[in-house]
Amino acid sequence: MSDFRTPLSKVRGHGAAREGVHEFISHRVSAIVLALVFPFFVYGLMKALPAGYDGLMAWIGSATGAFTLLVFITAGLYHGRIGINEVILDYVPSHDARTFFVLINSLVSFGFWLMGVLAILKIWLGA
Amino acid sequence: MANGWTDKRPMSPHISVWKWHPTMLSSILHRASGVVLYLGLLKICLVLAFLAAGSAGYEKMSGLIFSKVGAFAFFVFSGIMVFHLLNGIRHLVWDAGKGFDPKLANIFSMLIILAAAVIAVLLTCVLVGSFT
Repeated sequence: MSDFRTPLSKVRGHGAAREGVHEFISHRVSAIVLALVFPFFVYGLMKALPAGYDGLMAWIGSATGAFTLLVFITAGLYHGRIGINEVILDYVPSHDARTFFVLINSLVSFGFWLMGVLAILKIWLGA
Repeated sequence: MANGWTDKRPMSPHISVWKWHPTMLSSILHRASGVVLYLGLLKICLVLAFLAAGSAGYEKMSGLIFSKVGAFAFFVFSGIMVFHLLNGIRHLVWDAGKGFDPKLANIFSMLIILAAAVIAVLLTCVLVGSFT
């Protein structure tokens, strides 16, 4: 059977993806945010942990602590979601499974982010 | 990659003939630590939800946090976090097009792993010391 497709039509769609720059830049920007908030997070956590439940509640209940945690989990889950997506796209060969896992990753990231943010706001504003 | 691969020609021998070197180790560790940190972040969100729900839910976990296992977990997690942070900063330097000299990159890989371990030990000592 003859092949009627032109050479051009065969190579179309096989070039560079022409997308992904958004993820690349978002990944780096959230990384910089995380690096900046990291000292505040570690300091606050180390100070709060020895006092147990009351210490943690006091930390989350303070404006600095709540802000630190909000920035940390927001930038963290955003950064983590892009990173896990990259791992999934690298290692899952089947298109269907890949789509499934990428979707699950987005839902889990958003769900846990929402849960964390609501918990912080409840403790902070309810305190 | 093995999925639907029918080409019988020999593939380029890749993984099996690689010699381990520091930049390879730090690259693998960066990805692995990222995955672990993501799981840790989910755990943090879960703890926040427990805290918001009241002290009853929190009491169930607090026993673990203040035990030897908890201190060891803190050591492991802080080490992983500091490593990912330091190596991430190096990735930003690489993105700027600097620091690609193989010898220097290998030295930095080992330095970053060492620094992460040292900082994790220090943080754990400070934390355990503040408990008593």
